[in-house]
Amino acid sequence: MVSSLIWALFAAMTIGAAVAVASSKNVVHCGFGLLFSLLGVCAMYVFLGADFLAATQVIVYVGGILVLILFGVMMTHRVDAKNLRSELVQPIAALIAAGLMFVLSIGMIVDQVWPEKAALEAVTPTTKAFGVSFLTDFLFPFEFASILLLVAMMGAAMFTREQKDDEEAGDA
Amino acid sequence: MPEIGLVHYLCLGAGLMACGVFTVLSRRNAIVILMGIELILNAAALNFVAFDRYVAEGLSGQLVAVFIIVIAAAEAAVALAIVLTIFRNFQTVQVNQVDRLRH
Repeated sequence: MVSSLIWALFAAMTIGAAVAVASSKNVVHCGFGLLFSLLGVCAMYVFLGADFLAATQVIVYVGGILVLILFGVMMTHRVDAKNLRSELVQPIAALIAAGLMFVLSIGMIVDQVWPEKAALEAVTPTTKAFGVSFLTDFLFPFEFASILLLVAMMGAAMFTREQKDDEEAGDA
Repeated sequence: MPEIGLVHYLCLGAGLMACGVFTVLSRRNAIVILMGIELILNAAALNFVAFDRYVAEGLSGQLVAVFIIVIAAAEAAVALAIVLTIFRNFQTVQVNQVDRLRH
């Protein structure tokens, strides 16, 4: 009962912040909306008993990706720009497309009879099972993900490096 | 207040997904489009974890969610690098104004 109420509070925060991302015209407000939305999803992971995933969500998303995005917002605006604005274009068409998608998926979710477990397992720490899975059944995806991250890091560094030829043209 | 079940999480995921799709469709600022993509990826990961708790045996749903976070991190790094390079060359991040292959 009380946990349902707390769940509803966090769900409202998640959806409200996501709506703020979708509707705010100020880019910085969008960034902070994303912050609260990601924290709400982290709370959902706690409710679902995914402790390791909740910690990862905070560290990687809130501590990494969001800071990266806010840096991007700050670095990609001209000095003479008065405010960081991003107008909505074709909001009606986008609303129809997204709303149709939402209504159809809700209809499908409610219609479907989902095969649920008879009894939920007790919530236990998942870190040990994660470690065992990463080094046994999920070894190949694990190694592949590490190579992917290395390649992405090198690619990002290469893209943003100042190039000698560009300096003569005088870049911003 | 009813007990929270699988359907509630799926509806929350659908809402996040719709917000993300609306953001991607209605913006021209490349960075806000990236934020929409992050919302969509989060909705997918939330669905995976909910199915893991209520339907599947074992941990496979949570493991897939970890890989989704990895993909999102790699995507954000590369995409922001591209956006910064575009800004350096075009002085804008509005995706409709970036319409030349060379300058």
